[in-house]
Amino acid sequence: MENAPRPDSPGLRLIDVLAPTAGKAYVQLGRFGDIINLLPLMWSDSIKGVRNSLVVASEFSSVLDGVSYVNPVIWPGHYADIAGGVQFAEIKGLNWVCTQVNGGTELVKEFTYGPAGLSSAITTSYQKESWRVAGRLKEWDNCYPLVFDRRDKVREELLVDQWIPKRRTTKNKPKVLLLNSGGKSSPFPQEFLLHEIIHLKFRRKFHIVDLSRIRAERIYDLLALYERAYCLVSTDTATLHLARACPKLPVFALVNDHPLLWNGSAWMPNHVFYSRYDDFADRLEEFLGLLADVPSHFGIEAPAIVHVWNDYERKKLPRAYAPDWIATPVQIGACGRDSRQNLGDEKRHPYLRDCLRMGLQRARDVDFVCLTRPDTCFMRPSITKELTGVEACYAYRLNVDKDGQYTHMPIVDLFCARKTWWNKHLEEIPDLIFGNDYFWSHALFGVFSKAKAQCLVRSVYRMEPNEPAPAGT
Amino acid sequence: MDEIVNRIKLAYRFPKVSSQLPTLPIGPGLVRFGYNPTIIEDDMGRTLVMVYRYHDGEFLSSRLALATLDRNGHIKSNRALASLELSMEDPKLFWHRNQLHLSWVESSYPTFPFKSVVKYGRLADGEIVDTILPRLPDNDMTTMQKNYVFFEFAGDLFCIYRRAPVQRVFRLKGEEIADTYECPGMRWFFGEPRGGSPPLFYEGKLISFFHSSLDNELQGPPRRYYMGAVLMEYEPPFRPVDMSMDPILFGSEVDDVPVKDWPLCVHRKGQVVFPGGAVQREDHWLVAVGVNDYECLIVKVTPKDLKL
Repeated sequence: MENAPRPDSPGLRLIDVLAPTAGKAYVQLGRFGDIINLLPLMWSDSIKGVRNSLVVASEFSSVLDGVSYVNPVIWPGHYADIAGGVQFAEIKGLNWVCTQVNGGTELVKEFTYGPAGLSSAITTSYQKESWRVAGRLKEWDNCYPLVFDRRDKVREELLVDQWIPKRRTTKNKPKVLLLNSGGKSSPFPQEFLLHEIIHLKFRRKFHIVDLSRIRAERIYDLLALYERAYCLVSTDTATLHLARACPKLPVFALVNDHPLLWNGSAWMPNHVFYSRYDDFADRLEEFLGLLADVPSHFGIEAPAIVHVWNDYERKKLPRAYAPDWIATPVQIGACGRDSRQNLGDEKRHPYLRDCLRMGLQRARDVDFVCLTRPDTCFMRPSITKELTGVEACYAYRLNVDKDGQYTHMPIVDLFCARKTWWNKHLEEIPDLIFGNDYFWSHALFGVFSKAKAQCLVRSVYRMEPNEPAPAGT
Repeated sequence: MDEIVNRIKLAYRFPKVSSQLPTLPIGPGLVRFGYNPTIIEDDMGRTLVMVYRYHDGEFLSSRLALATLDRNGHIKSNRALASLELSMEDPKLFWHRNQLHLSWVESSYPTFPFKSVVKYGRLADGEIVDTILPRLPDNDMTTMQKNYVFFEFAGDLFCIYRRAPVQRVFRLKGEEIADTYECPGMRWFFGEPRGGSPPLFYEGKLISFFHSSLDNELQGPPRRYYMGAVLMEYEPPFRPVDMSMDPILFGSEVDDVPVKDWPLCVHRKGQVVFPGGAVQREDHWLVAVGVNDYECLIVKVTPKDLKL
């Protein structure tokens, strides 16, 4: 993609007339994706009447033409020259905060972490790290929208005409699959494989638009294609970050994991498939299966049940249990930390709170988030009514033996509560591994029990127990 | 000690039994750390007779004590029953031919290997007389026999020998089996239903409270006890027709005895709830339960609590 330089005069904006309070100047020189990552924060400030400035390198400044709620401050140097960008902000007399975590290590330490009183990265993704140094990490789970409120309809129409074929009837209208297998800062090692296999397997099913071939005048002009697309397959690059502006677009995210998981983009609620680069070859079959039948939960009326489970071992099909359920399998690598990276375990397991927060990000306020094990089965279809009938509930597991006989197990396998309830109690939940053990379950039971959550009877079962043998037997 | 208390508070899965349902305030007066009580009404309902198990000092074998309580559960009298050399355990009171009877387990405990039989006899003037060792299968001190439930029906004496998977009930004539009734027992998710209270009449059926246990706890002692209720047909073979969906009571790690006193009781065992008898009141039942092998409780169970 290429982008034309930014016009000199941005013109008068409504927000200028309203004279909002001057906010901070965030130094984020580039690249597109990193600048886009900050825009939801800027937008959330703007609706509170605070207008921030963004110091960006001229090479990437065009992205700010699409938003009215930010004061663009164009740094004429290279985006990696953080010292220059910061000095530029100081000369301009701005109250700057450097959020740039990409660049030379020493520069990032000096200008990003140092002034924020921090010494190193501690979050699970560089995106969250930018929010952290901005002092706004707690707002990550709020899932502020990515808003481009100054889009150019004429340019967009031209782009659509050029890349999406017109059909006389809607019946024959092919579904559009947007694909970007390229990327500069985080190139995908299997770029060729991905490109070829999608074209070979899906050229009849989808109209495939290769985003890497598009020369859009502004990167956000692509949103016109996003809004008409059936799904997006993108490597870890700006096209992936841009998808945040289309929360109903199912996204297949291929995300960087080198040198650390931290160097990959964070999971977003519209990611129906999320794979780290190194895992992709192992998950190719799963990827193609999902692409052939894209799961979509958009349009489900509230309250829905966002069903979260640890899918690191891919024990269960990532399908919703019922029409008003939203399947949220936590796929391997979807969390920016796991037991192997943090604890040196042989197996990879996510953390409980990370998974829970993913479910909460996907849920609306009135929705319920239901946490189970991957092989938990439900006893009856009426479970939906039971789960949504109380603010919070839990259910013990029943084991089913070979003869079909049920036995109570003192392990709680289901925890369900309204999103607002979870948010209220999130801090009480210990930071435990969300594996196939019972420790996380026992701790969570403590939280639910303390809050006097209801115990559901005979609700869930498991066919083949593989828990460690009970103590003393 | 505070640390231990806090750890237990964090770890216990079910609240103490006395918090799970309302209880009668028995108050002091029983032998300290007595447990596994049975109750029955006497004197036109004005008196509750209770027999329970206790340990004399440091003895591991147990004896039985007899108490009388007023209608509200306050203790009027308490005395030891004549004891044998063997351990006397898990008593159950029942009426037969208008006379108060008592069954109990007589056990070789603590002599290994543990073996036991079930006996019954008549209670007269606070003493057990006319003791009978019924000739039921294996009830001959070669194995561990327990959890028999004796009851009277239509003037005859019956004994629930086993509740599941096949319910086996004997009609007795003296010490001999007169009839055997077998029918499918009910499967419970919380372990095999066993023992419990002699059946009472309830809405055209018989109701009996039972205990069960599962050895699948993941922390601490592996066994936890549960209490449920079963409804049986009001005629032989007393086929079970309904059962609690969920336990009425759960054995708990904690109880009413302060944690600092736990070491004083060598026979304490957590997570136990053990019903031994029940009486019917206007809109509820009083069920005598033993808790953690060192506490007697009388809990009030309403029809709603049955979780049928």
